[in-house]
Amino acid sequence: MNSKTAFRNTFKLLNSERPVFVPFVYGLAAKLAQLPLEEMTSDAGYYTHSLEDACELFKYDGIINNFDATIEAGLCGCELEWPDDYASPRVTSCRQLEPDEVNPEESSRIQVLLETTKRIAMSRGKDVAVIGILTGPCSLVKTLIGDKNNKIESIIPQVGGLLTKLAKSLCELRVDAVFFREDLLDNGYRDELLAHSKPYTDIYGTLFNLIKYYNCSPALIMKNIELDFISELHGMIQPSGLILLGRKVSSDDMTYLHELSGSLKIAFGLPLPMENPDESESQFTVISRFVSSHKPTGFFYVSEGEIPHDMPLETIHNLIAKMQNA
Amino acid sequence: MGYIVNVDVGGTFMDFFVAKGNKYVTTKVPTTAYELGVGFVRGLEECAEKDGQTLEEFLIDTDVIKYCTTIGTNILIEHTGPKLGLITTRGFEDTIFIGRGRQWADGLPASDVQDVTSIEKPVPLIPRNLVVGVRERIDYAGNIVMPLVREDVLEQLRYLVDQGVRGFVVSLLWSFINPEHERQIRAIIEEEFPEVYLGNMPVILSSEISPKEGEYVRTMTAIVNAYIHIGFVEQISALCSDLLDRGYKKPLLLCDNVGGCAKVARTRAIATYGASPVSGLCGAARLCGGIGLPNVVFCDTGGTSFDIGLITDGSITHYDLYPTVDRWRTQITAIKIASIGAGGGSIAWMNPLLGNRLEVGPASARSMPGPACYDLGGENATVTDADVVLGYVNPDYFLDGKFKLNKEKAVNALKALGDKSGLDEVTTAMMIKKVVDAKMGNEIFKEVALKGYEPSEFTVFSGGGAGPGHCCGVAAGSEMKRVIVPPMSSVAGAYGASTLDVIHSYERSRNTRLFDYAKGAYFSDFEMFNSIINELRELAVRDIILEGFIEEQAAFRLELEMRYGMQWRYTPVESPLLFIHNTDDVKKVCDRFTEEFSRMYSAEAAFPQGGVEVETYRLFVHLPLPHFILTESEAVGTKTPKAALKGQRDAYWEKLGGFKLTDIYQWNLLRAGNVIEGPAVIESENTTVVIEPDWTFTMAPELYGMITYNQ
Repeated sequence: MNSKTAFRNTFKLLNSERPVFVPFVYGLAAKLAQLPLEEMTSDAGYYTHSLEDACELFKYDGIINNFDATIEAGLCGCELEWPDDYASPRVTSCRQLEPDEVNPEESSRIQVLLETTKRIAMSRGKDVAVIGILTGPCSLVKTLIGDKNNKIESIIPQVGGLLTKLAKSLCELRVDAVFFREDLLDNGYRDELLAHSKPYTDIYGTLFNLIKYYNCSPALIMKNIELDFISELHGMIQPSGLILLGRKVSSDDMTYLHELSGSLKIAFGLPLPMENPDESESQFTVISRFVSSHKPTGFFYVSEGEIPHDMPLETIHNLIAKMQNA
Repeated sequence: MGYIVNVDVGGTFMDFFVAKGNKYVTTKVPTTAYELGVGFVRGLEECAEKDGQTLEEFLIDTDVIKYCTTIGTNILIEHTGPKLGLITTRGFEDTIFIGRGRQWADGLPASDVQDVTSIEKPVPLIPRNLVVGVRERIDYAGNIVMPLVREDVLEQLRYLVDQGVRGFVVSLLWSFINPEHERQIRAIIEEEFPEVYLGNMPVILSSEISPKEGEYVRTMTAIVNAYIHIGFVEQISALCSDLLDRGYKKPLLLCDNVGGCAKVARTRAIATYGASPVSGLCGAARLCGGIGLPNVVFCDTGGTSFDIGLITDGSITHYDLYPTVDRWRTQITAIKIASIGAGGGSIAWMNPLLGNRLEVGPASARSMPGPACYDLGGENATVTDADVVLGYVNPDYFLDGKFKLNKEKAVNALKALGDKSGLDEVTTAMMIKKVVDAKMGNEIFKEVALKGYEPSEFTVFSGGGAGPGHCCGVAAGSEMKRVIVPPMSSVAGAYGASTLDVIHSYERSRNTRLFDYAKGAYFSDFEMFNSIINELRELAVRDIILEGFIEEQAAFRLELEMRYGMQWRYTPVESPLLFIHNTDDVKKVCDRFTEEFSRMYSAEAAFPQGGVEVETYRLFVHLPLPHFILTESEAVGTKTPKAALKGQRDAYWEKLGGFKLTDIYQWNLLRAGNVIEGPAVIESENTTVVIEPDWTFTMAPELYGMITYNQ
């Protein structure tokens, strides 16, 4: 079974082999290609080669097409700055356009991203999973309006329309999964979602239906979320997977997640804090022990956020070697 | 006995009917137009799961897969075929652009044809700069008047290759009489681009694809076939490889539009066009034949189109000799199916030219984005949205509950539409239902009455996912009083595929005068007649053997396209004899023609003074396969189906003045003998049967439903 099949089977809760590893490699890929990130992401050729080469070097199981929460914001008129060669850009000010007036086809960043995803899907898509990332509705709404809550009811459906277009474009490229970044809100995600649960659940419903139609799996990336919120969240939006950044899992947590995975039919992405080898080692030990004794079929590893571009490559190699030999 | 898997692809859903012995399972999955193989495998997985198997176990235990595909349709709609070059006789390069008669109207819905100010000719499949003429000429009798010049062919060939063509279509004048020059051109191309090189390109000869008279339609038949050929091969090969990887080692049979199926390697791409409704019609004929219904209108109401086929006196006798494929008139022989753009996904709209009159279709929301209630991003109100709002379709039990519908989105879409005319969502929904029912009913009435039959003598066969939900309204609109709803109605095309045998047809044009009225003489060159049949038979036997059958298993049937002299149109006639040996045999063929012609046009219309001619010989070879047969159920229920009553909900009945609490029944809990008076709704895993007031549903011993109008 190759990495792609194993990844897809994870979301069907059928992966009886080792959990797959899909790290967030973005600035690191630029560093490996010795290209500033801005330059890399402005050319589909550079971008494709950099992501493919990084995957080839570390032999992980899925290529994630970006880890940049400013793409959609930039599309909506926010101004960005690139802090250094390998760091993702930051939103500096929001000169906001109405999201429903935005045409993704006119954005060069989006076009390069889609072209890159298409090329990766064609060249590596048979062997490894290809995953598209979009900013989640809650995070994007917050980025666009900040604290101007009076606009929120009108902007949520517009953001939904924009994300629907982007998700459709990604899915048509035959990606295996689409991850929505809600980690930007950290543990404020729950409050944001519950405060406007109806319009948000409507958006998630459309997005997830659309993604599933294309035989892809929709998943949420969340950070510092309480585990007891998962059932409630699943009842509201039914994602196929949740990525639990910021979570240091214990064996009790693993047991609980295993039960949830079976009962809710959901896959869990468990983070490894790569920048801290000791923590990463201990997290990996807890997870791998559980995996070897319980054989869960719906767990996979992710990196704890983006792998730092200045991280020693040896550390990454060692960790991946352990995963593959576990 | 293993599984017999039948797959039918529609514009909105892919249907699966899997039989093993006298048991079966069905399922529907959304059509994955972006790659049909994805939906194909997803449907197989669901069928396997329903029978408690993994996909791999299921495929190992599968004897045969029959597939009605729309790959060709998609390639034509999306215009994603390869760049082709057309080689024709010099001086005739513009034939396909001039077209024939109202070529600009071919394949368009009636409403578009009426709008002559905005109508446009279709974009050619081969642009003018990729059509070249070569110096050659063969006359009407097949004599070579001007031989082909190799250097000239090479020059034209190189020009086409320089333009980047990836395949060649060769269609020369009179090649159906003498294909020598077409064959020579193919030989030259193969010499220039031998198979060992990557530059090898397919060559399609019109004399092989359509050896019949008719310069324009013959050329278009060859072009359409070539246009879909390469993409078809790629997609089918990928699917075969995928199935092979998953353990399926038996053949994949493709269904065709003459009501047969054949291995991929023995199927012409163009023959798969429109196979789905033809399969459904064949299935309906077999099922209705088994229960003694001779006159039936087969209706398949899918998400995108509404297809109609006729069964008269228990058989399918209506053929289309010049079917339109997409926007192109061809001359493949296909079973006649009438089709209009109406179905569950048909989009309702207000026509501003008619004072915002509500219209439904022909545009469809298809499977992506689908009706608004599918919640895939679609915002247009469709027939399915109306059915949800009117309470007929249960949003929580659509496709057995695996596909939840969003009623709120349906309401919003209908409100948005209704606001344009000041209507509320329920009134708009009811109008949509009435318009679409009337549109479908009217189409049936035309199809039956214009062929000379009395509509009230016919029964409506309700097929397709949206069919049973609209069957009473459609039957009323077509002046019919009986509707049959088979248990597999929602997957009628897939069920129909299960009833198909391997059938091939071979044809050849050769004008033959069987009776000369002026001389009072019958045809006497029996050897010539028989040599054509033998030639076609040899082709048939070659294919039979390559399909793994032996000649003794085959049954042959000869069909002749005949006419009285000086007539324009031909009448297809089944010949009583395969070969003729004497004048009596010729008389028998002529008598059969007279009989058939008189039946169609009345005895007064017969015109023997013109003589009797055969233009086309068509040989069918038929190889039987095992079929699923509907059997009588042992369990007989009481008249009142209390056990099947699953609840009540509000549904809208115009005759009763609005929403009324309506009984909801579960199809698979109904037993033979159960009777349900309308209004009522029956839910099955893949469809919903709506029984309107004044109609009565009765479950037959074979577990099909018969809905009759209360007199």
